[in-house]
Amino acid sequence: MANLDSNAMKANMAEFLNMQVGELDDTKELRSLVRDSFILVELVMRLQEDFSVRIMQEDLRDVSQVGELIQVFKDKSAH
Amino acid sequence: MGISDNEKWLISFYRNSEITGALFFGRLAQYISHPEVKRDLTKHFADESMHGWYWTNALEELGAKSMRNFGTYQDKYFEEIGAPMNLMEILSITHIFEQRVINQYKRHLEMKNINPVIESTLKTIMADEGWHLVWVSKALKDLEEEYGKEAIDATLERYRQADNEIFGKFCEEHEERIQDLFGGLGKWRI
Repeated sequence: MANLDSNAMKANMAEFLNMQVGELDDTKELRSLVRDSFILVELVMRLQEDFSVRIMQEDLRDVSQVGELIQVFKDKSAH
Repeated sequence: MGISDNEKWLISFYRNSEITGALFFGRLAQYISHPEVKRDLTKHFADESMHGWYWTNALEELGAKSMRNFGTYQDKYFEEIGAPMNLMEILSITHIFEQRVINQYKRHLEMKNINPVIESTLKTIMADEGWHLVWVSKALKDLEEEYGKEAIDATLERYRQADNEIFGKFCEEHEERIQDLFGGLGKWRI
């Protein structure tokens, strides 16, 4: 299981999105990073696999930013 | 033998939906670690790709060009109920979607004076669809230990209700075309 910290998650996301880690600040809107919802699903699925965390659709209901997504993963990992 | 504009519209919609499904499953198959799901999802992706090809070939045989993607059924799912975010939710929405596809293709096969090229293509594709439901159902059964049977049943029911809503809206939006093709909306509920 990879380390569940913000930097590790952002590095993982940046690799998937073909971006620089520095571009993924916490307030970045997720919708601005992906072409469509299918890509967002793929991103979240990959993060779940790589960080051994399970996310439900309802967990992400109010999530729109990178920082919020990471926090959900951290919260889930802690339980 | 050609086809009407409405038939071209519907076949293009089928084609675009198959290709969208294939692309989604293909990309997911790269990340899923569960070995059986990885294997079956990869096969499912291959089937959906072929189905996109079958419809492409059918349109070419009929002397028609595919219409540009104007939004697939999967897009409507995500708009209505949001995107699934874990393997159980993905398999659940896939299960409901496959049931809808089978229902629709069966309905199409009942069409009077169906074009033989379309009929042949539908039958070829339907031969695969049965297995799609079988593997997804089994995979969901296998996930009961992890997610709980109640949670899975509730998710399936939520997606089923949403699918009925979406299909109802779809039929209303395209009522004239459907009326022309099938003589009425009929009862296409799962």
